[in-house]
Amino acid sequence: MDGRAIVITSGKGGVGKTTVTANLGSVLAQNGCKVCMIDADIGLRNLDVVLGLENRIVYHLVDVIAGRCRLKQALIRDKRNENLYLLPASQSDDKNAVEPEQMRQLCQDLKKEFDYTLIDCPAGIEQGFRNAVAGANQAVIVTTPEVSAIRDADRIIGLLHAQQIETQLIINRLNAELVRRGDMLDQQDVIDILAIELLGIVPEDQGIVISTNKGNPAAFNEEYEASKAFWRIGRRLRGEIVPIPNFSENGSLWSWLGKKLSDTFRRTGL
Amino acid sequence: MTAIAEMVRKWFGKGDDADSKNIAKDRLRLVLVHDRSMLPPETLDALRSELIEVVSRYFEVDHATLSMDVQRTRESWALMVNLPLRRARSAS
Repeated sequence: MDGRAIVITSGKGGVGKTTVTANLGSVLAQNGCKVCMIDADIGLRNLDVVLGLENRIVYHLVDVIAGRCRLKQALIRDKRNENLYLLPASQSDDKNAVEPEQMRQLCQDLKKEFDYTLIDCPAGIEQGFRNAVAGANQAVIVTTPEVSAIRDADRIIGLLHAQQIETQLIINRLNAELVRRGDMLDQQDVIDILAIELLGIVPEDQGIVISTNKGNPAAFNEEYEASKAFWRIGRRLRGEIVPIPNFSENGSLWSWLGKKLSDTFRRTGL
Repeated sequence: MTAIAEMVRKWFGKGDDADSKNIAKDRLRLVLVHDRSMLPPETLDALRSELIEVVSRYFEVDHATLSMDVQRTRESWALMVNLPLRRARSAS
């Protein structure tokens, strides 16, 4: 088998790389693909807790690289889906414990076994970033519609293009109400600025917070709006053409009027 | 009367300021012009040798005389190349 290795990266921290990795992994696995997620954030591991697998770690990425265990021993099979695996990061080492060439070899080995290898990249553009992208065929850049996140995304896109890695964008935490009011950049604004292919938009959703609290990715709970977005993104990743809904579009006049009225009542305390 | 006018303005989504997203967009554009112009030296070296390669297909050039510079202004940046030509290559 020759699977794909996709790095999830952003430059800026806190924009949702780990959440995107966990949810895309969950979606692809539920679609019947064999998926391995690598937490490449050595020293600051988090993908394990987002997935609720923190109590099952025996060996980790650095153990595998250092030859202290076999790759199969370090892989944790997800309890919800047998297609889904996690290779956790070490919590005690630092980024320099791994070299880009070693990551390239690891991804090579994983691609033989898995349809998708998703690499959760640490924030920043230093050694951790270089390691995380070393073995990737393509990259998913995560940004939020904010000045700081977009600026860092632009930097990352430049670095990835120099390495000839294909890039696509996910806009995370889009707030439709703010976009409608003209107080948040919309998808077209972000695309105009970054000049990159859009893979999907994930709306801001309290369901993500609840899911993370429970250690059960939103993608296992299909009623959340964010979850629906991740399912669409999963289908696009697999090559299907799925339209991207316009979250900022105004609905009918009546729904607009209803919303404005309820907003006004809420503001005035009626 | 002004209270009603204010309420109407709020209803139609226009506050006191221009839409803040346009401010964000303008600021980003400016910041990125500067960010993107910080070219790593390897990129400039690669560009230099490829430029010489392409121009050499059509003209005889003296490699040593090529001067290249990236110039920045507030709104834009430009690549300035000065490459004296000796003579055109023959059509064959």
